[in-house]
Amino acid sequence: MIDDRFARACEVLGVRQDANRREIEQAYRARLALYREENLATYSLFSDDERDEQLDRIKEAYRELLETLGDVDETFDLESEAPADVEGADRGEADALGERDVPEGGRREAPAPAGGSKTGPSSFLPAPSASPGPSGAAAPHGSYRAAEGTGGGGGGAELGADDEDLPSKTPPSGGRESSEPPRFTGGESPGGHLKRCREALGLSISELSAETRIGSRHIEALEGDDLADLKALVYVRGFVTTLAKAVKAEPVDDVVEAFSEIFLSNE
Amino acid sequence: MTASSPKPSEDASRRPKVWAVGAGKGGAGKSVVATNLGVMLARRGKRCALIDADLGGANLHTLLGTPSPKRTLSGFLRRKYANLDEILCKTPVPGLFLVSGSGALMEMANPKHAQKEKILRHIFKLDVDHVIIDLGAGSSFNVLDFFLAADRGLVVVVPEPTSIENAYHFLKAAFFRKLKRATHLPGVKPALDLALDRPADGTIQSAKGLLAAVRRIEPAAADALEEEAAGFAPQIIVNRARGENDERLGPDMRTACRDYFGSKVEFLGHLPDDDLVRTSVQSRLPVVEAFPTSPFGLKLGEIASYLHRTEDLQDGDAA
Repeated sequence: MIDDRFARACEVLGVRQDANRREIEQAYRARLALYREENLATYSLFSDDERDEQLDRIKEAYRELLETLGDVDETFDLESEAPADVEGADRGEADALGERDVPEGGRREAPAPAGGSKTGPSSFLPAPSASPGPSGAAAPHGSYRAAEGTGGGGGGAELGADDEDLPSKTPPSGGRESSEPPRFTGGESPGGHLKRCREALGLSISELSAETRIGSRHIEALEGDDLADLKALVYVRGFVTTLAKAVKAEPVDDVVEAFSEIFLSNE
Repeated sequence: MTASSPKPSEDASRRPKVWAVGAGKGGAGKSVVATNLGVMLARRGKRCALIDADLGGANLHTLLGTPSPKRTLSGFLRRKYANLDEILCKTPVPGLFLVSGSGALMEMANPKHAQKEKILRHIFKLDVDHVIIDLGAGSSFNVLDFFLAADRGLVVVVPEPTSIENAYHFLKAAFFRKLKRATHLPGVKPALDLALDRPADGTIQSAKGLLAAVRRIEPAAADALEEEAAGFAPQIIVNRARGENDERLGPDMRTACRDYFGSKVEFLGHLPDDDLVRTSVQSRLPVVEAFPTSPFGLKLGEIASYLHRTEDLQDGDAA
């Protein structure tokens, strides 16, 4: 019965049956946030498979409710998370890879401290030169493809291949490269770490710049721990997050924090 | 009254309302919560018995500032006393009494099934309005059975992954133990066992998933199990909350638990991280007596009012 499905969908998202589109969207995003791996409230309650199933149910319910509003818009950001969690380049990426079925926002975020910030990396604007586009702005996946030599952009086959990776809990860099640079430890220069990771991938600064849309001079400066040109912490965090993911400088969170500390101690 | 559900079915209005406070993991503050709830009920004119069922680590008397009681549960179990009224200790708060496990011998930390049943039967015979049981930590069958026997099962967590993990382990264990009550009915046990055999890695499926699997095997068995499941309604308190994120934890856990268990798991409220709690514990005074207007005291008061208000709406089988 259509009504049953509708009622169940409302229950899955936790909305009243007369909810409007905005309420449905908010509920959808709240549910996605709840079932992110890092969320303390669901920690250890669900197994990974169950969590994925729950996310599927949530997405299905969302589609179901949008349909009843006569409102299914294929270009709508089904994949992106609550506005507080996904900004700028990340949302752009989800748009670019629009058919992706898994809300990868939660997976892309490096693990947050337990019970801690729902906002994840602090909100940042996209790098001025980085615009969302099919060539994979701020794209860990872009970098996989570059590293694997399959080129940039999102095609159906590549999406399919990447979809298989996403349910995995390991950080995006897990096991796909033959030579993995060592993980960043707090004591060393974060810029140096970025550089080593870039070099381990065989990328020149200009290649990295082309891939991430971040200016070469910024990359160079960051690799030298030089933050003089970046006037606000949001840019530092934004650029570093993008670069760290692109060169697989793990753990991304720690690298971002190290740069943030440099910035703050310079103020 | 059956062995697995020792609640008197007749005269429900004359028997005390029983609340059990558990945590799954020590250090969450359940003893402080249990004690202070008892104090507040007593101050509102209710006769209240606090039961320190943490047989290996009883310390409610310390939180209340009463001397270590001479008559204890271990004496009761050894038949020195015929009923629990004989070991009720007065406390500094009029109307509040303590049944203590202190002084228990090591073997008392693991009472046998029959002894546990005996304690439970007598709890329901106490001449008080409320009984609040401070359960031990962990998820042993005895702890689970006390939790499930209560009218309300409260679970105290703190916003740390270890506490959450242990609380969920506790809740899953309690849920599953509750389902087991239906296994004396024909066909239920085989269906349940079969459904449990399925996961390749041997872990318990989500509760809802398990029930769905049973339904595919034997719908009648599923009906019986779902009836037990529907009565599973633990109530969560988040203690030591600091800031907005911690305050969101409770509602989020409620949602997650409803999704997982399919039943009405409730969130009662969050209690702030309050230094005055520590101060009062160190002084061996209940915080709601020593600092009634402390942030902790005020929030706990709200929770107590809510519990009190909704008391009459409770079924006999809240947990």
